[in-house]
Amino acid sequence: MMKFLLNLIANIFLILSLLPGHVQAHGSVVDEGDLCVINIGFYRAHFKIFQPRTSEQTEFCEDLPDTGESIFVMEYLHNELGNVPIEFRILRDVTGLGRFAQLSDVQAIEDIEAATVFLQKARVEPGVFTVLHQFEGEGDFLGLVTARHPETDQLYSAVFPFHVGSADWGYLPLFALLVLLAQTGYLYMLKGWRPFSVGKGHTQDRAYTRVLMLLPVFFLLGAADSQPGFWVSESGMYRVSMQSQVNPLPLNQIHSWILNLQTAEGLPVENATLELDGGMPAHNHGLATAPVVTANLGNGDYQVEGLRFHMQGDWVMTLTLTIGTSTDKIIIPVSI
Amino acid sequence: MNCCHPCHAGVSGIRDILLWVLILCALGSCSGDSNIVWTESEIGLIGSLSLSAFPPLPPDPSNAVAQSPLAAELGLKLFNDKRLSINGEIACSSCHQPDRQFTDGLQVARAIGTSRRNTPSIIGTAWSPWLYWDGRKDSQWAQALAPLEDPAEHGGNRMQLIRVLYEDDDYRQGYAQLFGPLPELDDSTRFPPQASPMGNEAQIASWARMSNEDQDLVSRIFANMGKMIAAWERTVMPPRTRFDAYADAVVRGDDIDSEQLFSSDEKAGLRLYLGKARCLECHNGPLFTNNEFHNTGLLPPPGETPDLGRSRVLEEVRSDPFNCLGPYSDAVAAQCLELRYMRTGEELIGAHRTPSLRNLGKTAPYMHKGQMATLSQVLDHYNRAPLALVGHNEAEPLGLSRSELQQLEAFLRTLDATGALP
Repeated sequence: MMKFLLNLIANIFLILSLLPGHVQAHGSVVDEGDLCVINIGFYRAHFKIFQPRTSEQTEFCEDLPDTGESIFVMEYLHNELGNVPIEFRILRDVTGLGRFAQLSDVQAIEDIEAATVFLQKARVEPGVFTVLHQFEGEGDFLGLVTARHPETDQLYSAVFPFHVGSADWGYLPLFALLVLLAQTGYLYMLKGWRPFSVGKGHTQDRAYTRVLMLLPVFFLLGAADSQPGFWVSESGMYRVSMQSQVNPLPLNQIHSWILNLQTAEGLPVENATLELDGGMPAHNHGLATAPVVTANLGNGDYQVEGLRFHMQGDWVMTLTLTIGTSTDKIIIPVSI
Repeated sequence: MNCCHPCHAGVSGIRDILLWVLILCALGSCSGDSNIVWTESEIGLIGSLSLSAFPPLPPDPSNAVAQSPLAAELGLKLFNDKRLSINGEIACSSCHQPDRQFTDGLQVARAIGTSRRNTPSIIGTAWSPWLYWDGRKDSQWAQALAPLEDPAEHGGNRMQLIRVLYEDDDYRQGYAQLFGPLPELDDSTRFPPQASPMGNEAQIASWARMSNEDQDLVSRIFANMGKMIAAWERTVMPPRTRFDAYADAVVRGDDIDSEQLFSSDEKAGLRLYLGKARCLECHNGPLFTNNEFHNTGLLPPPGETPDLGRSRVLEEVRSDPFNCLGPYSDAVAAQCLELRYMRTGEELIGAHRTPSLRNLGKTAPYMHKGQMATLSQVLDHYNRAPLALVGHNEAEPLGLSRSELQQLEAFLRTLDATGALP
């Protein structure tokens, strides 16, 4: 049974990889598995569409199940997009080409304004670009996104055909048929063919998980190696101790630290450039502030201002040291 | 006889079971248990949420009259003064209604026009480094100024607003005591009737015709108006609740009091709050907020694109003339720690400030756009932690059962102020 399922999955992937690219990606929008990406010339952005009234927070890559309110979101993967004007247009697909429509086909449309159902004129949006359109009816549409080059007047465009309204089966029937055929073939020749061992894969998986689970232990052992009150750098050449202006470390209160940097032998390091940042790995977020090393007090003491912890729990601070041309890192775990 | 033996055994079996149930209940391990035993660490956390753990009022170095009783007295009068609006009908208290914990019960504020977001309470804002849902102001006084000139809120303009101070004897005399005498504002050659750098076209044009010195003078008087309002707002504290009484009893180790104060559901809800439901991560401290910015994957209201929140105002905060580092602040640069060490970055896309959970019974609807009418909708949202439309939802699905959600809600209700308490 397990083998049957594995082969089924393998078949699905095999057929997906054999199908032409535009089944997964129409025009400039590409479904990269966990991320849907729009390519506007050399610019790239995470592309997603939501229909909050009918599908709440469900993310769509291009085809939309319903008419009505639809929010198009582009989160820039290329920071420069936040500084250039972006135009966003939705057209009825008057080319009749559906999923095969390309930029040249859109450029060939005689009266583009007449076909336009939505236009967001060029505007600069730092960080993320969002537009909202109410689709009045079902049908095939074309999206056209245009962005300018940061220095020249060169324009870059992206075209993505999409369908709005009752599920469009597209290639699904053909796809299902191919999978069925491949699977039948497999069942037919099943006796005497053992493509791979299931057990081995499992063992590897388990070993991998075990290594992952042990990582924090290594981390703790590493910390235990250092003397009490000191944290040792990755290279082992430096160590640091910390003194907070407020003790115990306060919640929701901005305060400063003094860091004392020494060599592994205990000699003060006075010529380092330090940067301190931190976050909560368990919650996948950073500090509430951006602390800055504001003074070199001599004797290896450095003042850091602007620390504020906004959650109770375990924080991991990362101190980056630059001495001459070499850099090193020290991890300082703290608990609030 | 033959039938009696089994019958007898049956009765004795039931009796045994009942006896065991009684014993187990006495040991506090049956359902409906009212005997939650708090661990040392839980007692510490419960104590940290009580009003008794309130840290002292933080100083506001940017406001020289922050501690002045006269400023606070005038500030309260200004807070309720409808003359501080273009049509004489809107005061701060029109939306920040004292009997609703200084909120208005609406999804988004309505004054002269309709505002963009839900009216937040002013209670405890002295402890917040940032004001507004997106934190676009860094002091209570700077915040108090913005609605006065917002066309959707008070709709006023700087020249018209400061003239209210000039034309009222109380204000004029009090102002003179606090900041020195007001200039002769009836000199219409220097001071046009309506002018503001933020107003309509005519007001902006009038403002542009004023000398730089007079513009600065008017802005300074305007800022001082905000500082008086803030001096009063600083005194607005959250009322004591049943939770505070319970927390204090738990910290004292007073079992009798704590038994009477909290039901078993409320205790179970509190335990979830501290642990499994992960509420405490953001809603911490006696105000039940870390006043920090978080993206929690909320849907925008119909017809609106997602609110980008904190990420959208970072530039505005830095360039605001009324910020801590600006010319109208009384602080020296070294005191403006929050502004100088302000965080930027992608984490702030779609992030809004954590609101307090005190008095939720009076502050519905919830969230920055008032998207959620009931507390159970809010809890359901956090339990599911759906994808964020923009940015990244920091919350993760909690997997709480329906009864756990009810217990959590029961606990949150104990944060409503309900009159006299032990």
